[in-house]
Amino acid sequence: MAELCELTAIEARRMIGDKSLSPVDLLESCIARVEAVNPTVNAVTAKAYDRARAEAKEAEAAVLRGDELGVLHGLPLGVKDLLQTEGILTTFGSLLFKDNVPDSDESIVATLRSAGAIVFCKTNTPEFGAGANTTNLVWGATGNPFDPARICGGSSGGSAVALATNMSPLCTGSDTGGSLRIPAAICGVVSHRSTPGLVPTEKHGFGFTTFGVQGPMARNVDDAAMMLSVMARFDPVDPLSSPMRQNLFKGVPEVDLSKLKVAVSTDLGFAIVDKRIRATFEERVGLFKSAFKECIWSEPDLSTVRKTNWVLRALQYLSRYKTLYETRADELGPNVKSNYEAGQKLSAEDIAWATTEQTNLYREMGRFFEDVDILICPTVAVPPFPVEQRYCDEIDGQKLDDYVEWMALTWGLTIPGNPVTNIPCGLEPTGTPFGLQVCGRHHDDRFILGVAKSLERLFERDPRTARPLPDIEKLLV
Amino acid sequence: MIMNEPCDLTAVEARRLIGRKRLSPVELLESCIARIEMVNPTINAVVATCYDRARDEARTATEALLRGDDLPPLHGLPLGVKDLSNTEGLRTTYGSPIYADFVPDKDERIVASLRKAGAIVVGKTNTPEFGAGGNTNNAVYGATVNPFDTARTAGGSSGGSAAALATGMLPICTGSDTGGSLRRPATYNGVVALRPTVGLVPSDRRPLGFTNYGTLGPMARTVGDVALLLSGMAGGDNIDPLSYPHDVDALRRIEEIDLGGLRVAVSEDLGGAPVDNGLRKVFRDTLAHYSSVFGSCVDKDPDFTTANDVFWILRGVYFVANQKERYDNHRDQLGPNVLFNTEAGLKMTVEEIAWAEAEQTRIYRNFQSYFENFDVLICPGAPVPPFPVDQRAPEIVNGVKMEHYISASAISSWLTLTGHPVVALPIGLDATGTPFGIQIVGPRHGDRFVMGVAHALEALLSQNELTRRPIPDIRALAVEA
Repeated sequence: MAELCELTAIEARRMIGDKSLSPVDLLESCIARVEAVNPTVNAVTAKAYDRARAEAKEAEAAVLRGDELGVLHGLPLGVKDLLQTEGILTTFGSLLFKDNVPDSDESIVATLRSAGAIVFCKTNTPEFGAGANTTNLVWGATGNPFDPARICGGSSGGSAVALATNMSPLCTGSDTGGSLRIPAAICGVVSHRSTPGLVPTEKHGFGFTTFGVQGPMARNVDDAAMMLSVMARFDPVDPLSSPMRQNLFKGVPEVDLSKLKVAVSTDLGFAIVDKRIRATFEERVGLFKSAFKECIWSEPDLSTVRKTNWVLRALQYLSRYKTLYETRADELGPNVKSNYEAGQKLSAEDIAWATTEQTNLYREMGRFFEDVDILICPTVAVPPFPVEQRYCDEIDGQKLDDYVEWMALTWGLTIPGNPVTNIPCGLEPTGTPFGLQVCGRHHDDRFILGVAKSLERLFERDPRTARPLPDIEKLLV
Repeated sequence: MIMNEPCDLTAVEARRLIGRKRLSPVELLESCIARIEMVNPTINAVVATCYDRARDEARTATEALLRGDDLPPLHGLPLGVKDLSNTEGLRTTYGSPIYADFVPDKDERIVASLRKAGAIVVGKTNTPEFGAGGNTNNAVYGATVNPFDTARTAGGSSGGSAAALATGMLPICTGSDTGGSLRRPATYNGVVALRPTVGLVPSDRRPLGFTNYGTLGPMARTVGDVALLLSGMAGGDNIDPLSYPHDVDALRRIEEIDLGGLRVAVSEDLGGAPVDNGLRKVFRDTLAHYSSVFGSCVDKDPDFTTANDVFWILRGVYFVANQKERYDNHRDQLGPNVLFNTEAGLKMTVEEIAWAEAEQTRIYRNFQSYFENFDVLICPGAPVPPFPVDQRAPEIVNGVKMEHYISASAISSWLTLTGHPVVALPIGLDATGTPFGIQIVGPRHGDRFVMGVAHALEALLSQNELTRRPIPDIRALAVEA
């Protein structure tokens, strides 16, 4: 099928600019796709079609008037249901907020709207974004477009599925322990977790954190970079935001791979990784390693990252959910509760240790990247599991301690805060997409996106590494 | 009494003369060494020294000059390094007996960066043990005294740097600041300091990297000198989580600011910080005299209602992170301030810490809203005049007893929580005859801007002998030869 909703965001925007595509037609195509496949995959939560149609008409009129058009002018946008959208139901995946209609946009949404994006739907997320199985008591589970009985990843699962099935060309996501990267990997789309502060937000409870990074999700690196060019800005409301010398994300240049020294790692030296994923990664490295000047098996020393992540995560939950836990604990899900209760057991010494260790890990990554330009590793440690299962509790016979252990490959990079682009690289053995994390130096987001773009170009030439597409026909109701 | 030796030149002027071959780095260094030998026995600001190495470096710097090499921005300028920073081959004690004989085998980043920018390390400047406190005094080197009244404190914790600058021992010094350690000694000695936006001057030794706590910063005798020094220490680096890429060279180009276009907020006590009534009067009178030069100037306090508790709790975590190992293994060698803070930190509950971290972010955000209406905030630079050197900290302010040794630091420590850049600028003498100054707070990341404002104000204040930078009587401090 060649529908308008299948256009890349860059191509659609170009056609809108040269008047060969009307924002109204593009929106209607996206709406039709949502209506066709969403009953099967359940990626979209609230819909704002009427308002979006009015905005698309106005966007079309602006084109015809010859107005100056924003970077995202007329592009339909799905917004993760953790972000507050003015006039559109925002539940955070929690029963406590099942009827919550915010009276203002949070700044990321306002910024994307003012660049011309048209918010037409919200995308599903686990309760308060806790966990990488996108399911909650308000909306139920989002299914994998390659196998709807299995998980699509999370917490930005609705966004990833909406992109993979061409419901929307662009979606927002956010990432604490892997929530931009895991669903993008499982659904075969692209996401970028930026250096903390590059995409400012006013919503962090703890401002000085590498958790909760907001970012773009799209079907290719160029689209994600174009969206990032709007989201990245200086806003002192976020204590980690800093002035940018130039915003250079739109049209990131490709990088000459043959000049790069690249480290590859199957498990970052500490994560538990399924043997099928290990084998897939090793096989793919074999396919692409010759593109680089040098490709070595190497990883930074992240041996303390597990405990550091657990303490910092628990501390954050303790602060954020104190009131809810004390007054309405019975309405909170098991993931939120378990993090909160872990937090109650901490001491001042634990916190001092973990905050110091986070800085040590930051510096360790700095040292690591003195020697190599880029680090590549798998994004997800296991093939997707059935949606009924809350989390993966065992890998190759080894029992896992808690619901975040299977996501170690992603939160291992969250703690030092290095930027990561997730790109698809073929399928894993059970028939769902396989994703790679392309990780680099702090504040080097543009370079990392450039490397990801060059890899994407390389991968599309080989069916074993090309971006997999779901069979839309099978998802139709 | 104004002295006219090379060591009394501003850094900017000395660097200009060096560039024109009218002053040799050797001559400048010898002048600084002579001044140190003359007044340091009285002041005790400079502790370890490395004259031989400095002389070698000054000779090399002179040769480079004569060869016509490209000269870096701080070429040939003598530098004092606060004794909390590691200097390769030069004793570094942190003011602690545990490290009384410690000689690092490597410069820490700021020192390496300044050397690379051409500065010549002459010696280390005194600090309280691990920088804890506003009185520069420790069991290794003893107390640094105020050059305007040697019975009183030079302030702290960058007290050695401030007193060395005030007496012309050195033209530029490094400092660092958690609760006011750059700003208060600058105020007490009539010199200038910038507490930069945290991350602008990266540190490889900040243990809690993702905080606004402890930052390194520049100290000198003029705003222009501070800007020059800042450009030698700033950088984007992958060793400090808050550092970010920026144009380092732009930092030493002072921004021209039209004071007549500024919206200025004035706060006598940040809405409740202890400030001595005598200092309030100096502050009010000076501001009243100059307020008409600004576009607008209104009294408006920021909201720091919870700042005391937040600062105290985060400080506890900071001390546990920094000192727990020494607390477990060398407790008998730790001083009262460090013991007190570490023990308080160990008793803090996880709920208190979670609250404080979230509350700091709320304070930060409230401050951003406050700053939407103002370009700068001006408040006093110190809570009390310099106190007797044998006193650990100010005990009573306006008749009110202070709870502990950092209670009186609120006028500076509350601003730490915001991470905004602050310039400490002298405005003359207080009623007790020692220097007094103001803090000029700029917008987040507005380091260049706030230095531009301070530079314009400095020019204005220097026209009046009551408000110009006070200079101590050097001859009175000299030891009998």
